[in-house]
Amino acid sequence: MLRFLRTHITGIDSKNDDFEDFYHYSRLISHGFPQKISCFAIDTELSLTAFGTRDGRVIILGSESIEWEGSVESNLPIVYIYFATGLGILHILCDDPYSGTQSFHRCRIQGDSLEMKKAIHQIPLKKITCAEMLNRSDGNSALLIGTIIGNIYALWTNSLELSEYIVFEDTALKSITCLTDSKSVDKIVVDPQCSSTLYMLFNNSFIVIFDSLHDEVMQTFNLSLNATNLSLFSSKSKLLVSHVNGSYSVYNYESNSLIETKLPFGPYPCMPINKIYCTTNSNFDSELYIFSGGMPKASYGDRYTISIFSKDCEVVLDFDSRILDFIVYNENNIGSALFVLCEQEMVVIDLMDNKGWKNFRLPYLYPIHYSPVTSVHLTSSISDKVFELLKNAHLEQNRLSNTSYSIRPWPIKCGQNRINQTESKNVSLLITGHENGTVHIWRTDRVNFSPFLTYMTACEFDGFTENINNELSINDHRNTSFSESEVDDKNDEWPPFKKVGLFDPFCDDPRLTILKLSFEVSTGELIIGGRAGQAIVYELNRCENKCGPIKSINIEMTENTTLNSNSNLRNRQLPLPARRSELTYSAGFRPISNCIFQLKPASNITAIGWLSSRKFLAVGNEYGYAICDLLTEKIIMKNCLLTSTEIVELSNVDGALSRFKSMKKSIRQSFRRKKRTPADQNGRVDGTLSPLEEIRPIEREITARTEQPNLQQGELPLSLVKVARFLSTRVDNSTENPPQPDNLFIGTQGGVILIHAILNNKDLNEELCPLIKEIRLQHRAPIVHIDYLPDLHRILVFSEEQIRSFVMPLMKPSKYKFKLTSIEGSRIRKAQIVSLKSMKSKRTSEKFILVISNHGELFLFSSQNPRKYVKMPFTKPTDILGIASSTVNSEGEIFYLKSGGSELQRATIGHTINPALVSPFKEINFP
Amino acid sequence: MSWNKDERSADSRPSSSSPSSVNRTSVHYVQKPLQVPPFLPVKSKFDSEFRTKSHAGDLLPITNDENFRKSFESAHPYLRLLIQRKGESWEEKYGYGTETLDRKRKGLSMLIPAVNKPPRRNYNISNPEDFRQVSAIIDVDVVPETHRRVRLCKHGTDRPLGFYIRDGTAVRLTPQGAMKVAGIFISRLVEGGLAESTGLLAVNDEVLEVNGIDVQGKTLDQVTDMMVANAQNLIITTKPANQRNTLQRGAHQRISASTNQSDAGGSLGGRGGSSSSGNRYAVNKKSVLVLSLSLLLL
Repeated sequence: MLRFLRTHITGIDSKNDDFEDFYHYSRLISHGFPQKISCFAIDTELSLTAFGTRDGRVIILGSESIEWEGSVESNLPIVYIYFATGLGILHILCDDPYSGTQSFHRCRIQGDSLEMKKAIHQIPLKKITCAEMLNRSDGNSALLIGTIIGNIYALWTNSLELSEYIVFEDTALKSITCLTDSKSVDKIVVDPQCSSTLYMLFNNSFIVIFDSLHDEVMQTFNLSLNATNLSLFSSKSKLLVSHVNGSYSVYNYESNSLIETKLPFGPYPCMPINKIYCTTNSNFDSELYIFSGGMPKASYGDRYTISIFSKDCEVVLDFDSRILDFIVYNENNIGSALFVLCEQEMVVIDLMDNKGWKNFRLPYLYPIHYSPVTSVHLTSSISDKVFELLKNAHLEQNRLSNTSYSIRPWPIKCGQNRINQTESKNVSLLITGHENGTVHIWRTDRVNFSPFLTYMTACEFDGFTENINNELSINDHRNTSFSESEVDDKNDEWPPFKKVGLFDPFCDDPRLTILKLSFEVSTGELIIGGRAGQAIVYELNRCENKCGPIKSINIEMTENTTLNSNSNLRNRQLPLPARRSELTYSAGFRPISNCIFQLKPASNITAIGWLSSRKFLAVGNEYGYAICDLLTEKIIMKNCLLTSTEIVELSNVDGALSRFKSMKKSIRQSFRRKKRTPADQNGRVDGTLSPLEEIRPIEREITARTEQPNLQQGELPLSLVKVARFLSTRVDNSTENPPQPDNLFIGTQGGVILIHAILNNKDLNEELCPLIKEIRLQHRAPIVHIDYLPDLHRILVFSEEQIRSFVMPLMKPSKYKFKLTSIEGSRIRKAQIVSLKSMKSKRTSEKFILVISNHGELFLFSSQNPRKYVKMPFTKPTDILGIASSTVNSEGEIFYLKSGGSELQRATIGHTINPALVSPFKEINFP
Repeated sequence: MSWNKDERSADSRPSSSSPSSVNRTSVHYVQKPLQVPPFLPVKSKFDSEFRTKSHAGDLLPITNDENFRKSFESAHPYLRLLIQRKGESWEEKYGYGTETLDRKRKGLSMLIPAVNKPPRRNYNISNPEDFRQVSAIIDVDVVPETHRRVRLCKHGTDRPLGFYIRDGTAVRLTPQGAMKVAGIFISRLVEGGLAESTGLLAVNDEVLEVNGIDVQGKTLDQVTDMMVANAQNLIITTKPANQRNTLQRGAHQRISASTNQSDAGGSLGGRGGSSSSGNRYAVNKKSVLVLSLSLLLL
């Protein structure tokens, strides 16, 4: 016995040594649109863009796949960023909300990383009112900082020293009598031709053109109206001033004369114009005036607009989120692209596109959350065949949507020649399902995420009419094209609005929401489950195909016909009507057999499983589950896990179907949906408690798991199917049927595991999928995941509280078990068997069990001994969205949504990091 | 120990609120009619049993409703209770209703080995038990004297565990001196809940372990989940806010403390004193073995 123990223990110990060898948690880059974005800047010389966020992140982007990211000291909110043109240096102005101070940081690109340095200065600065970059030809550039008392400081780029650039009292400025009382510098503009000439706006009402070299006041303009912003159009000596009342004035600073004052959306009171810019290009006869705001207050005061006016055209670009800033990108002094940064997305308009106002396809900062992400799925490496089919579909989709996008190359080009676009092997895909029924497929071997393939499942349903006449765009996410005729039609409408951007916080029909996603990596089948009980299986097609009306196969989960006819049935939600018209599917996804499965009652799909070899679909909801055959388009079996009394109870959950109540609820929900912008969610996630909440002691009731969940209070019924998985396990039920290769495993909320055999003989007398085993977990916790370790002949069952395992083929309980909640106090949310490569010898790999807990931790268990595990945090315990959205593949890659839902954070537990994520500037001296 | 046989007690024994029926049955009650409350918690610790003398001369264990009622009926002039360690009584060893001759041997005759074989019956009459263990103090020899390890036995009933926990600060003695650390405390007991009925948990008791796992460094939510996961067999190690009922003090003090409350309070100098003193027992520490019981009469 002792010897046995000794060998046993040393056996484990030897494993101990190399456990560390297999895992290394690293948080990698994030993809998508950063939440809390606050400012951006463009360096035209190096062709770079930079973005700052209110949580202290700096992101510098060049051409596609060129990205630097860093963060400022203690993640102070970034308010402004300025490029020292051509140097690869950013000046960052941060606001410290706690101390009320402002600080300057310098961010320098060094190879593939960013070097941050805080400017330490002795001069006590008065309140900073504005800043502007002074780029000198000799490379010694400085950030000019205007203060509330009229002095201007210079923060020198190279030395990071702060010195007084213009002392108000020591210069000719003091002779200006208007500026005796208050002289806050509200805007500085540096003449691009002559860097010593400054155009300064004092007190929002007085413009001074000042030559700092000769200490000479060149011009003054006294404005009759308060100004908001100032800009220069130097080629025609024009000075543009935007005003608070929605008008703008154009001055000639050479002749000191007012050229014009315009109230573009008058005569009624208008919103202020926040920023104005003037540019020219060959597409337009006259100069273009581009300004944000200025809408008529009463009718369009709540719109977020940018107006582009010239002599021959007028357009008002209408955005769905607040505009933070816009910059015209100049190539050789020609304004070629308009970058608009909104709170929720970036839109780049092609100004050279002959007044089509087409967008550029975004290579990065794609607003993943344009319709809220409702499910995320990360596949393991897909087969070459599938990848080829997807690529074919991707090219076809791009070709079709080219009409709605600018065909010019992306204007930001830094690092373009450095990217080696070698096709990486073993591509894994990230699939996101959205509230509007759209599925996006993203390639994970990219630094920047732009949709690889987009599919709108809404086209399988009636009511998807707006795009139906434009058949080509069914695979496109949003019909952004704006044909010329439409412009003409709307010419009588004033102002001439044009909707731009993808972000759309309002959802037309929440029933389209994708809740469950699955992707078969070897065959390319995509399975979705939706909120209204719809389950659809898609296959990849190489060519276009015209299909007739969709066949909807109903699966009645409740046999009770009296209940069905009874209006008392939970009819809070009706199924979506299937499409009755024809539709041409372009190359890419198409429903198998042109049919969809509709579970009734139409409640959320909670589990989907797919057996590709037999084309069997298993689908579950809170009533039970069903197995369908896609080839014969038949329901093989269905199993309602509720008793009839429970069905009635569940049916009445929505308040005994008081119509008034449900109406009220639906209105309330739709308002909430409307109000709920990602920014709000953001605030809620890491928002501080109100003082009232802090005083009240937080306490938790200790109650055992109930056998009868209170459905009226929104508790989930025990019958809810949490897991439906086909596994090749050969479970032996030691009865008449020999073990079958495939088994269906069902796991429920109530901790019950049901195992079906999938019989091969298609004898009509016999049941095709008989139930062969039922296991009830004693602790009755909801099943989270069921998996199979073939090398150890072990079925792993993950409940919320424990890991249990069963030895094949007789399903005997095995010693491999672990009570995670009892020991760690965390509940299992996700589980996945990962196979990790050893760091020492790249050829060996071992299987581990990765568990994600409800407290944002990752647990990595040895597959031999559950007591051997490591724990590491991957996100905050309060990050509900991140934990709920986390997805892991068998290679140990992890993706989860960052708070706000607009960005996907990527991490890995293995040593190997995708080579595509390595910056081409690694170990290269740049700039 | 609780008695909640409402219907039966209403039939066989009228409540004191109806005087006429009291008259009828009060023959059995000398002096004051003993009023049996519908729900009477009686605590039993240290694996002891309450026994009362039956008419037959057997010692009836108070382990079921019938015996409990009987003991009250025969309580004249007062109820005589014998406390005996469980499993050590004659009846339990040899069965009820066996020959009691041997029992009556006293004095020297006890030394003489009994010639006849011990009384044995071929059939076994079980001891009907309506009482059920709801909690136990366990691991007394392992757990420090100031702490208490309590097992709450749910036995599949739908009776709620009935307590709440909260965050708080505890003082720990470290080599660096007393330090304030975050701790988990019992914040509330629900009336009629399992936790309250044991009398072993009280408000402001600090929770140290749940089923043997230290809760140090765990959040309130994590501890909640740990307790919920173990709800069927919950073992909580606490540091009671009221240290009077712990095994902290020496055996000699204990006896006097139980009889003299003011003395106990003085010698302890501890905090609290809010919990009911009814739970306190005078027991020699040496006699404390491992188990102590709190019984519930169903």
